[in-house]
Amino acid sequence: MVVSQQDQSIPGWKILEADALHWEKWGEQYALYDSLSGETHLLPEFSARVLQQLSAGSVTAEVLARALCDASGETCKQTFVDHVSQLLSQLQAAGLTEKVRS
Amino acid sequence: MLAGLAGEACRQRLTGKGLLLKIGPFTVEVRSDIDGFSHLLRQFYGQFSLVDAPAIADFHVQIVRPGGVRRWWRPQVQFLLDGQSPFRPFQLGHAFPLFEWGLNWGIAMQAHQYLMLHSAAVERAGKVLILPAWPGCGKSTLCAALVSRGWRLFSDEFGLVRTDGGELVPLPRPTPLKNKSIEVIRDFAPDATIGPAFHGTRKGTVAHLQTPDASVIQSHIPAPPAWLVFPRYRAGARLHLKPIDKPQAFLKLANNSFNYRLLGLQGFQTVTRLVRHCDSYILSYSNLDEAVETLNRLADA
Repeated sequence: MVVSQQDQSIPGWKILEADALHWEKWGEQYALYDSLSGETHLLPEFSARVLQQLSAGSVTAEVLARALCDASGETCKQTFVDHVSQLLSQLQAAGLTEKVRS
Repeated sequence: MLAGLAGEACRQRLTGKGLLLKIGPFTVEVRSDIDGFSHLLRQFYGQFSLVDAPAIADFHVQIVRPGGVRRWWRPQVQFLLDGQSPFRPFQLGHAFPLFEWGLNWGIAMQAHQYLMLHSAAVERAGKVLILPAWPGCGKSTLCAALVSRGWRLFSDEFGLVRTDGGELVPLPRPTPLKNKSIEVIRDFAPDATIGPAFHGTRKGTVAHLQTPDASVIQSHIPAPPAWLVFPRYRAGARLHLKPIDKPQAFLKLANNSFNYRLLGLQGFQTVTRLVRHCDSYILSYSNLDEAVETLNRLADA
């Protein structure tokens, strides 16, 4: 199944405070310091790219997944959207993202 | 320097207005009424500078006998920092190790102008090798061995890192050798001066290795870090110097720091800068000669 449009009833995601995040990149790994929580995270590149996409504003997992696919010239499949949704939930558990109503 | 003060004069200063010693970047005021403490302080801090009073001390330390009836039937010694006693007293004969541990505690609690690593640090050719490790990894023994082979001692216990520029700040002090390490270093460096053994301390038997004069004289000269080596002593282990990637080094170093979380963003930036500028390794070893030779080669490469 290919994702074609955003469902406005689905909650979006945002990061708590983009200015509070401080990055250091080493190859495909990122260290991230969140000055709001005082927590440090070590993230793989994909998680970092998701967070950096969110820093532009709140979006749904579908929109975010599509943007990531567009950036790499690939078709966005539902399995990838599900993967992004799951990652956003994990980032929420880590205190880096939160859900918002669009 | 302290050695310039005669023994009796030193004792009088300790029991009276106190001695102001320059220990690395810190000014430490020391007072004590303990017989024998003055002698060991002069032995191990003889080459350290005295600071002329009046001066602002970073630490006000007292090594004194507590009151009460125990004073007579089981004499003890107490460490006071700024008039407060953070520990239970030690037996009277352990005044000097108590001073050393107490000062470590004071530095770890207060010196937050630096990122503090729980590490040894030694310098060669203007670059610092940092040996971060928790107890039991052979950090002090390896540090003592390197210093006995010409590396400059920055510290056996603290990697003091400037949060502004990332340089290491020397804090050379006597190196506490514990248990088997005492004989290991006696064999490895027969010319090294090792003080009396204190038996039955909370860390077993402890004896202090004298700081080389050259390290004390240069204790005002910081240097940039170049290598992060996480030592792992294992009896019988074959020597192996394994490079580690920067994310791994970052995690190990942040977890090793006394005050990474407390420093917040400054801590993150200081640790990432260190990791960026250093080559990082895990060193597994059991033979000191091999370990020192390997680290010499690393520094000379």
